[in-house]
Amino acid sequence: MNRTFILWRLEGKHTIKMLPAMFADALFLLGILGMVALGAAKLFLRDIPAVQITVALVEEDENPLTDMALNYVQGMESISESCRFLQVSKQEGFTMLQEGRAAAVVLLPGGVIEGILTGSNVPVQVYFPENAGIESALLKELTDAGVRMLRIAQAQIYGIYDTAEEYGALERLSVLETEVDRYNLAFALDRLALFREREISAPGELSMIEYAAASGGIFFLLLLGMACYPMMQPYSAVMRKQLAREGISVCAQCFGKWLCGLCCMGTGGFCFGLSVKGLTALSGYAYLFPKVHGERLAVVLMSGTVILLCVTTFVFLIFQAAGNGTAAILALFFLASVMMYFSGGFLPSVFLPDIVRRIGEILPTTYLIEAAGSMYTGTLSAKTAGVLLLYTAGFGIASLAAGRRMP
Amino acid sequence: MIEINNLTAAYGKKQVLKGISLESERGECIGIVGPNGCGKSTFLSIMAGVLKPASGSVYYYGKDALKNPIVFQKMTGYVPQENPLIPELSVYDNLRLWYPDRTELKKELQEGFLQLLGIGEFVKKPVRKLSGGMKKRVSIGIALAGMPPVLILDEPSAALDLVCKEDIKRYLQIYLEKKGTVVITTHEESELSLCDRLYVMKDGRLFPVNRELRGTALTAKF
Repeated sequence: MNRTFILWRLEGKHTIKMLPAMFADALFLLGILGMVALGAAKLFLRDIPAVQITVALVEEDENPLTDMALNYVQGMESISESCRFLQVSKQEGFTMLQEGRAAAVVLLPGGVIEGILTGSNVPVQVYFPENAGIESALLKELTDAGVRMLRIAQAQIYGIYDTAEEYGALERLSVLETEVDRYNLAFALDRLALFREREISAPGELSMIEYAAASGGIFFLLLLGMACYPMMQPYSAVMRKQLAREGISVCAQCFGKWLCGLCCMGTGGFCFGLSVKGLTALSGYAYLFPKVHGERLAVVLMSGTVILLCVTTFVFLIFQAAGNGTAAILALFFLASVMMYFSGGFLPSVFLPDIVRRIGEILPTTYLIEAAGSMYTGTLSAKTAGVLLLYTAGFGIASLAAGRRMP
Repeated sequence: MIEINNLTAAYGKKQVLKGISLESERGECIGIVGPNGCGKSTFLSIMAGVLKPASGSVYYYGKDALKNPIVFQKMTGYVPQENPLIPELSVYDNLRLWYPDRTELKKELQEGFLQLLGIGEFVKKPVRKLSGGMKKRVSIGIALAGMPPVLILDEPSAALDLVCKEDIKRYLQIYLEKKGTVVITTHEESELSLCDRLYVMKDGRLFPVNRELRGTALTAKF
């Protein structure tokens, strides 16, 4: 038998022998991921706003009454959760707006509170940036809604006064106002009626839980590479030289190791999928697992294949470039975590800073999460599959180059 | 049988071997001594076909090995300082890689050189559980796959205990009795006693040591 095939066969045997140890490592990883998932679920399932809006407040005149009113407003739970008010000078406020550090600048003129009390209503000016981002858009929506509420409330107050005066019932004015307030609070000022209610999901077509499952699966696969180190780590220098002397090229040596890694990752990924399916079925959340029958099966298989090829080749590249197992494991953990963060694997990218989003767009993990998500949507875009295959080819070539450069 | 002419090698700008020539006959044992870093391992690596020289020629039985690398595989067995083994695999699996013919391997384990090396006693053990001496014996067994006429050993007894050193000396004696040629680098007196010819490597050159003056010359060198 050709010596290269013997080497591959022995590596295969080696891989089978190492599978139990790899599964033990994978279980440990699952434990860590489970804890991360639990934390993430607690974060995502809380009914709190995902963004906090920074508003620059500019008081044109120092006024204790205005300060008191502002402290009261800022202290309200619904406000403090979604907005952060910073009292600044006018110039500083506009600088913050230009630099994108504030979603709006609110100019409070002198006597604004007194104006409300006397009915003179000194206008408050609110400035939004020209290319308003999500925070500014939200704040504008809130401000408009508030203005509408105030307008209605004021119209009602004047209406009650005029009606009471017309019918000579001014002595009953306080009773009438209390009644109108009750109606307003119960029906007319129902805040939901003033907002357009539209459910949107940060991860696009996927629900938050599906997105978390897709990115969690990719993160697991990347970390599984650490458990595959006995198969993926390069041979010792002396072994490589001896194999080369016997006519087993670097390319053949690398291919054998990569193939074993692919089998390990494939088996690990398959078992991970099965265990998640089992757990979701047992806990009554079977609908959370992607459907893998009928037409969907082909998409799941295609996505799974491109994901597996890309992740395995990436992990293999890290092992080849690092040169030894320990360095590769550390590098893999660091790179996987950073790349997943940049690609929105831990928090959907719409919530990340612009620069992080832009870097994330070119990372393979972004496309890997998309491909994993396609198992839920049932459509794998040609672009995603193509990019992942290109990445796989690139990683493969780089691995070979790294293998050839080893001493 | 072995004919090496004007071999030169360099690591970057550092010239390690400066025109080394060596000839040897069948059944001869050639010893090379010299301080650490003098180029002994580089020389042996070139002789075994692991490294390529900058210039020069290497002939085994009249065949140009540098032009036809398969000559290195057929004619030489190489025992490097570190053991070329896969730790997670068993000794048998490691041997399988170098003995493609399963029947030949079994025969060697029962009545051949592998049996002489005593490998049969621990053939099923994973390599990572072997002692240093056992690993070295497996390395020698690997080098002897296909019974090459030339055995090249790079400090085979380094870091081994006395019993292992004696064992290795005994195996080499048997190999020499079977008309094999040995080229060895060593610091061990017991292994030097096997050598028919001894060379000192210094400044990238080989200097022969006169048999009668061997002891004094070596003492003078080191």
